[in-house]
Amino acid sequence: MSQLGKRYRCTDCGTEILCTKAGDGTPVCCDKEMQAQEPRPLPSSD
Amino acid sequence: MRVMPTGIFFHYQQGERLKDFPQALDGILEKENVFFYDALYLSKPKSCFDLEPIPIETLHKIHSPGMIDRVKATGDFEGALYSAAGTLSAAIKVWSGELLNAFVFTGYGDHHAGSNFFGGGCYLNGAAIAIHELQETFGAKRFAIIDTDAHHGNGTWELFENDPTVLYICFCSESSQEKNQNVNVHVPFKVKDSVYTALAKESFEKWVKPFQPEIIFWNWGYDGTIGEYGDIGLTLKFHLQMAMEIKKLAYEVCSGRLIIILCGGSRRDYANFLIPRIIRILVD
Repeated sequence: MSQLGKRYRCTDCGTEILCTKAGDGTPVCCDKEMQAQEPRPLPSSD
Repeated sequence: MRVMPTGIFFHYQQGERLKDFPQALDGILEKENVFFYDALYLSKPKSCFDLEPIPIETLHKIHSPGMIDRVKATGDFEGALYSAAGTLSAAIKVWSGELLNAFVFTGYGDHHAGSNFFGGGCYLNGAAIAIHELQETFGAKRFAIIDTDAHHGNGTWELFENDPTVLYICFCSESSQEKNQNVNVHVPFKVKDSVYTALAKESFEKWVKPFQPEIIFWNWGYDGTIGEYGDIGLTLKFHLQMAMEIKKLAYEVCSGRLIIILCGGSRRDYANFLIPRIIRILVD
């Protein structure tokens, strides 16, 4: 399932997309599933 | 007719209150007039939607080198840097017309950070850094900061108490006072939404409209909400009403240029309720 607000990248052509509406599928580019990019979280005051 | 976009500036955080974001922005990110800027992906190539850190020389224009060293020593510097970076980037994009308005997610706030001191969960004053940049690089001349966090913004007050180009209006429990364009509006310790809203509207008429700022920064904290650590009796609905009032004010005085900076407040359920609704007010 795609994740809202996550960025995905095609490892073949380098296309990058932002998921703006989550759904059951996984984004595909160049006939391959795109890779979800993992952000590094930072500390916060709460 | 092209609808001017709203920018959302976001970095992922380890804390509790924003755990459900950006997923809680369901129904918002898909809008055509919403641009989402984020940060710190490990392997993603850079794009124009990346939130970039602020160069150290830019920080030194507001904060002393000694203070920056002390902030670095806390271990929270990077979180503070990306919090302020969101405000700076939002300000540049709003000023240059790429965006109409913006919402900045922060992990550390602004208003307790002065030229050589910090505290209360604030390390860098993002609004002050942004204002300095707009003055120096873009020639902007008049700014307003509206501060509805429950506590007094001693850092912002100190930074602008001798600067007549910045109107700083702080609503808090301290006594009413004014100096140059710094105004403190006393809010009773326990206050009804209607009383606070009336105080705000009166202040906007008296101070903001005659001053005619070219851009408005809103230091928005929800820590004054019932059940929060700075509880002064406000309901959740109050914040939505204030968002509508300040958006309207921005249209009246500065063509809608408005940047909302997330400040105090710790509850995750309140964040989930308020933040998407306030962003929708900006967007719609």
